[in-house]
Amino acid sequence: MKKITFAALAVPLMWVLLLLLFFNSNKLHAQETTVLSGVVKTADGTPIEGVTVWQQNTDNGTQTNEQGFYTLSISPNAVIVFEYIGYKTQTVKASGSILNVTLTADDDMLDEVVINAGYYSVKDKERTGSISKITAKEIGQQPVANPLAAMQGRMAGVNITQSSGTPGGGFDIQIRGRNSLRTEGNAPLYIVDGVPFLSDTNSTGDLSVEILRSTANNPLQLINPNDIESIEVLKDADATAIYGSRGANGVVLITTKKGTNQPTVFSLQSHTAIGVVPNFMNLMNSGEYLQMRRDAFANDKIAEYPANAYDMNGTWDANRYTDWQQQLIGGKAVSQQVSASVRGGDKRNSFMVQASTAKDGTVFPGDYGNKRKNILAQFSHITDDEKWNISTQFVRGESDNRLLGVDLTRDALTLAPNAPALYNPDGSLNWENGTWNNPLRWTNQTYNAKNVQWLTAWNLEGKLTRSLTFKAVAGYNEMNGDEWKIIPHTIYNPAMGLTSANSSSMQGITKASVWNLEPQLHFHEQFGRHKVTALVGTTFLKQSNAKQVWRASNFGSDAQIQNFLAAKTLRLMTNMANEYAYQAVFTRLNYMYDDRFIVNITGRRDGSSRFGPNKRWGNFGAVGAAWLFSREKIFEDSSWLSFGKLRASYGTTGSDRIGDYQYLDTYQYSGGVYEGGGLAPARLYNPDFSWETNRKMEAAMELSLFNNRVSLSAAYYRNVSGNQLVGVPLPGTTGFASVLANLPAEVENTGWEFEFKYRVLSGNDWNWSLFGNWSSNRNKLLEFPGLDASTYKNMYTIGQPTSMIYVYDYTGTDPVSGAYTFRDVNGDGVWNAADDKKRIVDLTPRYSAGIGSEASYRNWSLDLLFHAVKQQGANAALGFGMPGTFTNQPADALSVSAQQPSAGYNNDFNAAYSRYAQSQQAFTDASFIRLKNVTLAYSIPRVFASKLSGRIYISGQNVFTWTNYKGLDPESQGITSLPPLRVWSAGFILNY
Amino acid sequence: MKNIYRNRIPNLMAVLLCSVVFTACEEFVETDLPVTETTADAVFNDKLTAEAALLENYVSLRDRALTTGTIPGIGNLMGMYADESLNWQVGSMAEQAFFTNAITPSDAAVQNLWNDSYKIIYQCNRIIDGVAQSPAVTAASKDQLTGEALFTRSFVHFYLVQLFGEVPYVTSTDYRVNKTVAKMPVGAMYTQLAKDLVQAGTLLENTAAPVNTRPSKYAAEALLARLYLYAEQYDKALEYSSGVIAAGFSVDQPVENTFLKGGKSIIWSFKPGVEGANTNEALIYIVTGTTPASRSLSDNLVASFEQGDLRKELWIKKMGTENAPYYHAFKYREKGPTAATKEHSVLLRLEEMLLIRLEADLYLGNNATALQNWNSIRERYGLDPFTELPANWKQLLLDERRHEFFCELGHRFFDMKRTGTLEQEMLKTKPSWQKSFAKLPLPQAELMLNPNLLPQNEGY
Repeated sequence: MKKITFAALAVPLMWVLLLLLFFNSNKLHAQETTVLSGVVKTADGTPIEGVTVWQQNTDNGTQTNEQGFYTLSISPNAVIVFEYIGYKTQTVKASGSILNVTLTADDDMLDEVVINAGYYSVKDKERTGSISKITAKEIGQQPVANPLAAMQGRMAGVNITQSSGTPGGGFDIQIRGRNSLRTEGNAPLYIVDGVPFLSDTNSTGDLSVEILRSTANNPLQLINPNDIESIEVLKDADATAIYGSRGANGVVLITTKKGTNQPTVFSLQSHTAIGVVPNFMNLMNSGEYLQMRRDAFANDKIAEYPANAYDMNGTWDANRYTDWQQQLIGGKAVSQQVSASVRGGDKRNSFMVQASTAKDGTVFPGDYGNKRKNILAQFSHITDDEKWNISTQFVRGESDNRLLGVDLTRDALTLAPNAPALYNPDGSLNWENGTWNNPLRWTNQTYNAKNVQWLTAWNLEGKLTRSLTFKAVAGYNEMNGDEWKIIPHTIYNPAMGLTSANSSSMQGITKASVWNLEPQLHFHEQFGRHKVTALVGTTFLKQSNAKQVWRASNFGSDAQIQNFLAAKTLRLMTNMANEYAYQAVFTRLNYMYDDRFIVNITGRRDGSSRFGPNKRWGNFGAVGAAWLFSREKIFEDSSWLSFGKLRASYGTTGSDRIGDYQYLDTYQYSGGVYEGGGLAPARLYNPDFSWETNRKMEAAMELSLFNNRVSLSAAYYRNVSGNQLVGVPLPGTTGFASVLANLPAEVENTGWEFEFKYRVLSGNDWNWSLFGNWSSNRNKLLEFPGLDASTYKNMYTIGQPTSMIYVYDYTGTDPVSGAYTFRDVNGDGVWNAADDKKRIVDLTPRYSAGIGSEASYRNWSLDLLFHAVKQQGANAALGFGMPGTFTNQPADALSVSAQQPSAGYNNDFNAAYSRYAQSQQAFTDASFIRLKNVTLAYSIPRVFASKLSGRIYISGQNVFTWTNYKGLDPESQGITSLPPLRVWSAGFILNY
Repeated sequence: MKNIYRNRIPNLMAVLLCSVVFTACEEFVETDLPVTETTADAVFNDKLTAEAALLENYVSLRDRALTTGTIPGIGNLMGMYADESLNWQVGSMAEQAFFTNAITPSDAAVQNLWNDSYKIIYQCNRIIDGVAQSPAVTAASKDQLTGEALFTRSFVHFYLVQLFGEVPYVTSTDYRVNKTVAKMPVGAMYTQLAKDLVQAGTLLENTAAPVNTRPSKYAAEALLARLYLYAEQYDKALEYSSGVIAAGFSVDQPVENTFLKGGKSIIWSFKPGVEGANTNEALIYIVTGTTPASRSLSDNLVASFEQGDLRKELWIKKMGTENAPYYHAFKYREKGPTAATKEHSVLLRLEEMLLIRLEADLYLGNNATALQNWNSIRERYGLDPFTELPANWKQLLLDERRHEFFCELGHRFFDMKRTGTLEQEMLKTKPSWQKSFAKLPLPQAELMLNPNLLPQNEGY
């Protein structure tokens, strides 16, 4: 052992302290004892089995048997405690040798929500941190393939955007705004059953970007939403600091379903769904389009239409009209899902096994889709002496996503309306003598991603003493990917004369794995009104990522295009084998006084291999406090206040999501070959970067009113991140686009979050409740010493959000030239970017909100969820390119204020349009209110057979959207990717 | 009665076990260097890996950057931009923008030309620095590696000047220096490049028999000849071109052999990555079908050849129908792979030296020598000799070069530009041509990130 770390020193010290406690409590055994026995019953006289009976302030205890009977050796006149979940704890002073006790049910306890905070659980009412939760009830009824879709709109401060409606793609998540200037630095940490989940995509851009766009295969789609029991999102420092360097962007804890202590239940669940593109754009028809083109050439003073203007020069039929949206993205995506489970257990054992299979279709022409298979298995066992609890989870997801090569949305919108027919009379693809690129050529290109991710978690929990528990979580998570892009020569225009010698196929093979081991000691003790809970633990984690991307080309025929043996040329394009090691010690100390005042201190010391040798360790910590003021005497008999809490927290977290080996100056093979090969610098190297820090502050109030009918919470937070680790943009003259370095800037995120729940009606027949959340985040660059001398000069300005963008200030259209005009900021007579792009557009979403309703009448229930976002977004019209060129346009593209159409032959129009696309006009209101989900369900009463029960439902996703946005969809925006689909599904659940 | 907490020996053991686990050391968070990466120090401590780093430049220049024969290379783009090629594609926005001269400072194609070039320059500088400090590489190897890197750095700078006008001259590997560099005047740049090329030539002096797939001493001298021609220092141009001509290269007969890999006139060329593959140029220029699907030669170019010029017969192929013919470049003939590689992408060849010598002689007034040399060129292409030097020799020489170098690395555009004939020539085919189109715009992102590069080129 070289250098003993702080961890290695601090931890044994902790142990010594804990052991002292441990032995101290055992001194009692040396004293004289008497034997106490008795029976514990409920109010109606039923004996209770498993009640913990112990002598207060010792670890001397036992449990009741099936008859509710116990015996215990105690010191004379000891105070005896009787504890059983769901019942009020009783403390009785023993006198004599018989003590019978009647426990009364604790109504408060029964509906007490317990929150999983990762390393520990906490009663919702007693938590000091900011944690949002959804459960299987909310997730299960939505026809979604990705758990993130089920979270959308349900949690304040958690912004989830679906950017593509193609299966396998699609989600971006931001918890409380953009902390980091690096996009990938904003991803939260995902933990599934205590094991870090490999949430980074394994997809290779070259293979997937055309079909999945920016949203490459999201690994979370490998978790079946139906396997999830609950999802908790940790947001503030109090909740996340215990995750240290990985907690800066929040932590998403996914807990899978577990067995029960009930008799075995068999379940079968299935649904069938149909999805369509909910909204088409209103585009020009052939007449309008050709008129625009004629005007465009006239404006460009081109009298004779160029040879490649096939739409104009008579090559194509001017009278044709095709609704390309209908043809290319107008299909119906059929999805089906079936899952079967067995779940049950007894007092000491529980298990659950669930298997699911699903297929999600697409709206594109052809038979494509994502086939998913999931298995969940869970067992847990408690030893006979009730001291040890061992449980294991196994979660496996597999997807086989087979799609066409390219998302056709762009073609559907931009193809000239008089473009030729898709097929020849004989059914083959029509290339119109080589004058157009038939969009269906992309159906000859295949994208296929096969991913398997499996995770196993082992939990061992043992009571060392009554107050001291040992826990160990060991987990392993592996993801294997096999991604293909198959490009036969038939995707090319036959006029180019290509053969299978020009066909190619690419394969990306990835393997990522992570194991972690977290031994922990948990301590809890009550001394009168003082309750102390503490834990100390350590994390060992190793992760490896390997990727190889092959490109095979020059085939004798396309018949075996996926067989590399048939390729005359085979090249390895990428070869990566990265390792990541991470170690930490963490601790939590929670002190509660009189069930009213709570202080929660968490800390973590992290070491990460991603930093250079002298910058490897970082310390993080937080303190949270809560005051449960409703438990003060003055509110004890309050008729209106059922619960009230004030809480606040402050602390630091960090981020090491910067990629592996960034501090090393290395070379790697580029994949190109020249004689002996080509070695290229792996990166622009900077040995000096170190941890960034995020300081988070939060204050919140939670209230329950009128006998818990109304609950409200409000939170304000302020996060300041400094010394940010970013890829500082560099001019091309350095040979690189960026260098990883600490930025001497401070970025502030502040925001408000509100949540409410209102139980409007609760009765035997009618139940109705409303719930909602609203959150808003403001981002601001506080300070940036040397901003003007840095490469960020033209990117950010102090006092503005980091999601700002400098644009030209569009002023209108020149009545003489017909071209767009802009404000000449420095008055030099020309518009150029460095001087005149000075207007600021703020792209931070203003707020987002979710409002839902859950109503039921006897066996019927109707649930609704609305999701609303107020934001600026990309103006879809700009995606079409300059009106007048060879692409179709929105029907209103030539409004009075628009620039004269130009076919691209006039550089003034061209330059003006290019600036227009960099002006405030490139952004537009993309706010929306969406009926995200509606579900009507009927619970089948147990009439057919005594043990059979079930539920049938119809459910709609993205049912209706109110928006002023003029593109296909205000959420996915732009015109290059398929918008989220409107999906209607019908399904049933049967339990036996 | 049973005390459930009695048996505490295993508990103690568990606790002790944990303590051992907790007592971890620094080593846990140290990861080994990945097997797919080598430290820079190690790379330059071994001739083979240092050379592999050098070869990466040729991979870039052949497959993706600047002089590549693929779509984003200047051969294609500047051919579209000038009067060589017609664009028939509707989808390729980059090529359409070059074809219609509608370039804006934010165009990705312009940005890529710039960034890829400076990336190569950075790599050259790394090699020059790394090799210099290397204790393990022999002096001879150092000379060769440094010579090739210096040559490549000059070669790339040279093209940047032709495309953008004044650009920064970068010799450092320190990004803190390189992120604030300023533009260097063209004259100073030429002086600097000449100095570097002379040094490269000296360093490459002793390399073994010149292999035309790597830059040699002659490549350095050939580029010097071109540099002096562009700088209008005709005596130096004459000196260097004559030197290369005398070095043992010869023009290939028949003419269609010029671009074969063993071509005797080739001074420097790129070989494909794998044996059997052929050139990128063939892949993009050769089209079939009754209408061209991608690009064809402009009618103006095809019509400008004299009757019987073998270059038209052999380097251009007529396609389409009799009523609607079109033409494509056919210098490189192997579109697909062959059993053994047949053609290499040629960067420098003897014919250019002959034409530089001719031009230098003409400007220096050596008319008799010039006439003789010109006629031997004409003879090779099956054209009648001039009996006396034509009065419009400047125009004829421009045409001569156009017919020799069409679709090769933007020669045509650069020739028009340096001879001051750009505007008059371009207006023949592109009526919307403007004087400011002589330079591409500096990439907008570049100006935003480094204000020292301001001002933007005029007209953008």
